[in-house]
This record gives sequence, C-alpha cells and structure tokens, in this order.
Amino acid sequence: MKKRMLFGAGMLFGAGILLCTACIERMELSTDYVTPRLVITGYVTTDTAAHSIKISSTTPYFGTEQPRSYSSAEVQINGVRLRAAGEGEYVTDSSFFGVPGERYVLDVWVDFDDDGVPEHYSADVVMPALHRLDSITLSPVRLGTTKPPWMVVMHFQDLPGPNYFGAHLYVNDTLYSNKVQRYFLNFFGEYVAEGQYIHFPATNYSIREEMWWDGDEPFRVHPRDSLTLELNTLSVDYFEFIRTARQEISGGNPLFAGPPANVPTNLSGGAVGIFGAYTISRKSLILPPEDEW
Amino acid sequence: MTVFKYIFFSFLLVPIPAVAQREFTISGTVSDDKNPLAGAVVVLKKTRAGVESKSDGSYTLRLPPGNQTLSVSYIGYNTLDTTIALRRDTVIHFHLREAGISLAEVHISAERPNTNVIRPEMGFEKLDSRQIRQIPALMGEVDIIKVIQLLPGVQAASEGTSGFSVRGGSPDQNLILFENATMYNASHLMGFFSVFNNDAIDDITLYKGDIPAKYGGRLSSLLEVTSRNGRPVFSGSAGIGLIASRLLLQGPIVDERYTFLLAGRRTYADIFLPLAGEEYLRRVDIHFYDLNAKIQARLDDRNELSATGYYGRDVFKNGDMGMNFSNTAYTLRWKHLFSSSFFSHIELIGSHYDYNMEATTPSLTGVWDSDINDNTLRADFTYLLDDNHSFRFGYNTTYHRFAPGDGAGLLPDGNEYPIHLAKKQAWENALYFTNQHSIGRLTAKYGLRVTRFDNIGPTTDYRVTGQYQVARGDTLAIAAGRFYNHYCGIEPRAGLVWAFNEAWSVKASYAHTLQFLHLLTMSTAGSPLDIWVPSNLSIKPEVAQQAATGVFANFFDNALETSVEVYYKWLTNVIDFKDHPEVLMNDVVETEIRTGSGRNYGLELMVRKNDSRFTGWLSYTWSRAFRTIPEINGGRAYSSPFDRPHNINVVLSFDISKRLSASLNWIYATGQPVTFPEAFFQFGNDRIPVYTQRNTYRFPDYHRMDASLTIQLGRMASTKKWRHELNVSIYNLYGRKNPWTISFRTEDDGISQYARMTYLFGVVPSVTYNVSFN
Repeated sequence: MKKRMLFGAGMLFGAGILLCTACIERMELSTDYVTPRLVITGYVTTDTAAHSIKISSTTPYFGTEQPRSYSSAEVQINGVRLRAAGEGEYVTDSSFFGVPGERYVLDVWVDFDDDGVPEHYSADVVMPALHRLDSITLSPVRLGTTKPPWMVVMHFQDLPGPNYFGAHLYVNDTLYSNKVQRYFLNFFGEYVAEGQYIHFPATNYSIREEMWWDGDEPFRVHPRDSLTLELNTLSVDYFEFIRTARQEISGGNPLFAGPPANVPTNLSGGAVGIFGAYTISRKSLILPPEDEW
Repeated sequence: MTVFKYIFFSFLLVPIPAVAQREFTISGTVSDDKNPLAGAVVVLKKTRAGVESKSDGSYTLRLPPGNQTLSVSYIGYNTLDTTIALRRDTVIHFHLREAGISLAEVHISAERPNTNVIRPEMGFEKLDSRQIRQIPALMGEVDIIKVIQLLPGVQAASEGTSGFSVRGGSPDQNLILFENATMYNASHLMGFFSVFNNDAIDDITLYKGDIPAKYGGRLSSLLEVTSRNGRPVFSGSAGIGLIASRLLLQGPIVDERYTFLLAGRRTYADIFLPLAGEEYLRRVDIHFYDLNAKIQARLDDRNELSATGYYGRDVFKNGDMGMNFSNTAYTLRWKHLFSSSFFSHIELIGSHYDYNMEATTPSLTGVWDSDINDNTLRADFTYLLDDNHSFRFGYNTTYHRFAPGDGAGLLPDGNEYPIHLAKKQAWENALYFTNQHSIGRLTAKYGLRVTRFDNIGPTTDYRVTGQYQVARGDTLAIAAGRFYNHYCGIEPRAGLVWAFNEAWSVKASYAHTLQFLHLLTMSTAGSPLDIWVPSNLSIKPEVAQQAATGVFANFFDNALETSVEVYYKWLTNVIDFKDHPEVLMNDVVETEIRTGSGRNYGLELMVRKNDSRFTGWLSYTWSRAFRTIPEINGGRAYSSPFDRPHNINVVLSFDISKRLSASLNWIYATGQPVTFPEAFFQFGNDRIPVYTQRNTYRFPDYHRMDASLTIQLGRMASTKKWRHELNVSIYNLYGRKNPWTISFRTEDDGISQYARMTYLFGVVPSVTYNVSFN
C-alpha cells in the first residue's frame, strides 16, 4: 500500500520540481494510419442492474473520425443473450447481478471485417470476493500549502488475497471518479497481512472546496455535502486494465515513465478492450459544517 | 575450481619476454616550483627518443650506460639540458622554470602529440580539466559528463541529464570510476549536473568499448575520472555562480612530500526559497553539495601513499515529504616501485550509494531506504621490459551488497506496515594480464580478464519459469554465507596498430565484456531511485563483443588530428522490460525482465585541432542500435532507446587575446526513438491509446548551440598571487525548444487529439566569477 501512496507521491513531487522549470507548448505531430481493431468493453458487478457491453472500433489517434458502432452483433453472457440498445450497446436484463466466486463468460459474434461471416470473440472473468465497507470516516491531512483537506478513510475487513481494490467517489450523487485518472486503485498483496481489519485512506480523494476536475473548472465541494464511497474489489484483469490505462492516458515524463505499450486485454480474437468484474459496497457520510474546515 | 584453471592457463599463454640488452633506468619527476608537470618531455638529446611525464609528473626512461645528455622540456617553460654519467639505476627530479607566460595561456596536453596515432587503443578519448573548463556549461556549472556527451559516439540519454549512451549502449553499461571507485549514480539534481566537481579533477579518460583488461563489469564504456593531486605550496581557488559556489584549497602538510587537497561546492537555491512569496515554495528545500579530499604522501623514491575521498548529497523536501540521495567513495592507494621497471598499485576502495524517501502527514507516515555498498581490493602490477614492451597484470576483488529497499508505512489505524525487500550479496573476482609489444611499425596489445561472480546468502532468490512466473517451491531462502550460484567468464581484449609513420596508422581491436550488475530503470534518462540488481538464478550476465577498426592521421605536426572508426557490437542477454513493468519495490523483479539480443554498429569521424589559439573538434557519428527480445514488439527487432543515427558535434575555443577567450559548441542529433499512439478506443469518458510497434517514431531532431566568454581580470603577470576570471555563458544560444517529453490532449471539441511538448530549457544565460591564489 505504501508502494502506491508514499512512493507515488514522492515520484510526483520530484517530477513536479522539474516541471516547475519547464515549458509546455503545442506541437505538430501525426502518426501513421493503422487498420482498425474491434473494441469490446464492459463489466459485471454485484449491483442489481442492467449491465452493458459496448462494441465499436478503434479510430486514428489524430483526426475527427468517429468510432464505428456494431449494432447487429450477437452478444451473450453465460449463454444468455443481451439486448441491443443501439449504437453498439448491448444490455442485460435489469435484474442481473454478479455473484462473488462465479465465472462469467462473454461471447460476441460480429462481422467486423465485413465479409458476411461473423467472427467470434470471447473473454471470461471470475467475480472476486466481496469486501464489505463497515464505515467511512474523514481524516484531516495537510499537504503543501493547501487548506487542510479531508481524506476519506475506509474501514473494512480484509479477506485472504491478494486483493485488487478500487473505489468510486460520489458527491451529492454526482460521480466524481468518472475518469480512470480520478478512480482510486490499490493492490493489497503480500505487504499487508491477510485478514487484518483495514483502515485505509482513499488517497485519490482529498476532499477540499475545489477538487481537480477537467479543464480549468474545478469540482466544487461544500460543507454538509453528501459523500458516498463505493469500494470495489476488482478482477485481476480489470485491475490491470485500469492500472495500465491510467499510465497510458497520462503519458509520462522521461524520469519515471517506461515505454508506452498497449493496455492488456482478456479478449480473444485480436479485439482490444476489457470484460471485467467487480464487487460493490457503499457507505455515505455528511461533510462537516463550514466552521470545522 | 574452474576459474582457477582458467587463470592458470591464461598465464601460461603469456609470452615470455626476450631478455633485453643491459640498460639502466632513469626515473623521477618533473615539476615546476609548485606542481608536478604532466606531459613534460624527457628525451635523450642525441636521438630525441624519450618519454612524457605522467599526471603526477613521474617519468621512467631506460638507457645504455655511459654519459647521456637529457633534454627536459615543457610548453611555457625553459628547456633544461643535463648530462649524467649513467652507471646504475638513477633517480633524478627535474625542476623547470616558467618562461614568463601564464600557465592559463598555454594548452597543456598530458599525452604525446601523436598519441592518438600510435597507441594501440581505439575509441579512446582523454580530456584534461582545462579543456573541460573551456566548454560552455549549463548554468555556468562546468560538468565533465556534459563534455563527454560532446564526443563522437557519445550521446546524452535525455535533455540535460548526466546519463549518457556510448555507441548505442544504455547508461548502465558505462563503468564510471572516480579514483577506481564505482559511482553508481553520477548525477546531482535529478541528472542536470554530475557528481564531479571539475576543480578537483585532473583528467578524464573514456574508453568506448575497447576497455583495458584491467577493468570489467560493464559492456559499453569505461569513464575513468582522476582526482587532482594537491600542490606542494598553499594555494586555492573559488568560484561564485548563479546556482552554486565552489572552494578549493591545497597545499603541503609539514613539508612538500605531503600534500592535501580539499574541494567543495554547494547550491544555494534553498537559502533564498524562504524569501519566496508562495508558502509552498517557502517549505521547499532543494540543494546539493559535494566534498572532495585527497592526501598524498611521497614517503621516499619508491613509495607513495594517497587517500582520496568523495561525499555528495542531494536533498529534496517540501515539508511533508521528500527524498535525498548520496554517494560516498574512498580510495586508499599505495604506489610502490620494486625497481624502476617494476611497480605496483595496491588499492583499498569503498563505494556507497543510498537514497531515502519519507513522508509525514496526519494520515500517513512512511519511510523508504535503499543502498548499495561495494568494498574492493585491487592489486595492479606493471613491468616495463623495455621501451617497446610492457606487461601488466593484477587481481581485483569486490564484495557487493545491495539493499533494494526497507521501509514502513504508518497509517491512521496505528498499524505499521513494514516492507523489506531481500538484501542481496555478491562477490566478484577477476584476474587479468595485458601484454603490449611493439615490433617495428606494429604494436600489439592483448590481454585476458578472467572473472568469477558469486551470489551469496542470506537472501531470497527465485527461479522464474519460461512464462516469467515464480513457480511454487521456487522461492529459495538462502542461508547466510552460502555461495549458491555463480557465473564465470573469460574476457579477451586485443588491439593492433600499424603505424605507417609518426602521423598515419591503422588500428583494429576486439573486446569481450561481461556485465553482472544491471540497472532496473523504466526511463531513458535515469532517476536517483533506479535499482541495481546483481545477476542471479534468473538474471544472466549481459555479454558484449565489439570489433572495431579505424584509420588515424595527424597533419601539420600533429596540430590537426583526424580519425575514422567503425565498430560492430553483438550483445546477448540484453535486458529490457515487459510492457507496463512494476520495477520499484518489487521483490520479484525477475518476472518483469525480458532478455534477448542486440546489435549496435556505426561509424565515427573526428577532426580535432590542437596547440594553438584556435582549438576544438568536429565530429560526426552514424550509429544504429537494435534489440530483439521475443516477448517485446512481437519478437521483431526494434530500435533501442539510444538508436540515434546521426550526431554532429562542433566544439571550438578561441583565445582572442591574453585576457579574452571564447568558446562555442553546437550539437545535432537525430531525435530519440519513441512509441506514439496510432489509434484509440473509447472506455467510458476516456480514450485509451493503441500502439502497433515499439520505438517506431522519433522525437524531433535535437540541436543546440552554447557559447561562453572568459575574461581574465586584473594584471596578467605570471608572478601575480591572485588571479580573477569572469565567465559568461549562454546555454541554448538560439533558444531551440528540444522536447523533453511529448504528451497528448483532447481539443476543445472533445473529439480530436493534439500533441504538446515539454521542453526544459530556453536560452539560459549565466555568469560565474572565479578567483585563484597561490
């Protein structure tokens, strides 16, 4: 855990010192045209809801071309056919939910190469064990010169692992972690004794008046806002997908970044994307009044 | 026992030298009133045959008995002739007097004028501290590694960094020795400055692959950095620059036989940060400092002791978290002359590198420490059979200890979560010999290095399967003191030079090198937190074989040196990483490594002008570097991160007058290989890039011009006690924006992507004031 928290912070700090002297400028760059590849994305969770699988294609990195969607595919999870919902999206029945320990197999038949014969793509995943959040609390933290923000601490019983965790944050029912860069991700491996009761800070979520958001506009949080944390236990393939996707989206600096590489997939047949599974456990609290900030 | 068989047989292969005719040896030193003189010429007057003094002023000459007239000369000094009646081995110390010209005004070469033509080594570059000082420097801080990066076949690993690539090799394939102590991280301030304070440096020598058998352990190059000896009169120098200041003091201890040298420098940005308006900046502490010390004792004509020490430290802190790293090195050396033709260097060497990170917040307290320790004993012997024949042999042994990481995190629940990565120990032993023999126009140098590398417990090691996983039961707990794995290697080295005359020669060389220590870094630039790991059960030694040939020609009485060299290098067990590796704080890094082969080849052209008011060099390098690793790039060969085909360096210095000198350099290099996205797919609100092959694109070509002007202040008389100098330099004179990194963003339309580059330096002017006294 320290591996993610302390070291990551140290790295960013060092890079930050360097970058404070650096200049950033737009530049002209283009890359070669490549043959499109089929994209399949989706996941199953322990929530009871319609779960969706999306089918599309890759598009050139530079340009305005929109991805092609495939609406005439045959999509099944564990042999149960999904309903086409338009624009390449296929959904389960709204009563669908994943069960920890169950294996889920995704089968997709789609004529991607336009030869009139559908090709078969598949992936399978096992739903991990459910970690139940007992509670979440706020802990003050002082980093740099910012006003003391709050860090969300999760309290739960760890189960025999290794376990791969993620966490979503909702503020007044708005999903703050709607991009992988803002999604909390952590791995409990051998460095944490299995079976311990965990009080773990979700280090991505420093709750302050103005949180990092897209562009110049911050995500605003106010005293007495409702805050919900959703603890996810991720299938290992999905964890790796999110972990490496974060690396690839953020790019890197030459001091700490390795060479870029494709985000791994568990799909067969040359498709890219992911078929994942994760459990969900949520807890909420109300942020303190203004005089306690 | 196998290694001892190798060693035994290797010595049997050494040719027994023919018995030379009866001659006596004249040896001693050449100095002025204060300093030993390196490069002074000591010749027999009637034949003009002779030698040059070494960096410590020592010389050795063998002559037949009888009356002999010797002529001792040195640029800027009056020539001294003396006649002696030679009846036995004789020691003579020569003292030369200055010819009324300031030392600062003459070029001092530590080599014979045509050394580049006649020496049997290739890919060899030597620079003294004055040459280094003339070259414009980033922020005015003279940096030997930045100068190395201007030599043919050498390129910076990344913009502004001290890491360098030699002939397409990675930075960890360079053995950097300071007084024979390994410097594992030769960088200050995240690589923007090297650990070497030029004030304390005598000279540097770079061997680009044709590494002498005396040294081993790296594939690509050897960079030998020699510390300056203290002068026998009290003197000093100081410099005040924009980011750092320096001070050097040297002088005798009790009498002239014992000298000391102390040098230090420190940056001072942190002193001014508390004055910053931003609270964040006031809490930042960022600085580095280093100290050099050397004590030398000439006990008698046959024995000399010296002790050299180095300590350098970098600190980065912002109040809540920070990191620091430090290098420590020492060398204790005993030079002993058994006779005038047989002498030894016995050295006890220590090298230590460590880094530390810590964070203290109400929610988290954590520390992390890592270090490397080397303890080395070297015994090197030289036997000069005659002027044309020398034999060198020796033994060196190094005990390596690696502590990849120990740390702990303290969380709000009060629980401490410790992390202890397994410590690793290794013992590296090597025996070597080198025989150099000149017969007429042919000089041959050949040698053999026999190495054994042992892994020793206590540690935890792993056997990694073909799928790069640790199989159940293949995690091995090794008991303390147990030698559980070893590698042996034979490394032949050979060089030939055929001198058509004093000015023309053709050379060829072959070198086989092994590397038992590997730097696990995910970046091309290198960072202080990179991890060195020894070869072990799963990581085999990297191997390189380099063959090279070239033509060397000097013109205008050696004022103009030219050379053409071509090389081809075969690499095996070369290391790279799987996609998205987890290297840091990973106890089983073996699962992240992928190995394969490599081939580097190229051509280097060099034109160098010496010995006049107008000096410098022009070089062009064409080089390629490829790796083939089954699990990377679909098993197809791909450009190594250091494959940069075209490189031009222009380095010029001009003494405009006795007071004024100007320098200018220009660098051009093909952009470094890089992997860019060619497509993407949508995942939620994110665009995930898709790539086809590794390193198929390149950064824009790199080029930069730097210039400097040095003005001697005050009076110029050679007897003046104080000398002042002002150096004005401009780094990146025409403001080229060389990308350090390239990233991608989405346009405001939310659809199309664009690229943006981060560049580190615009035009960077600097001023440095230097003062010296004696």
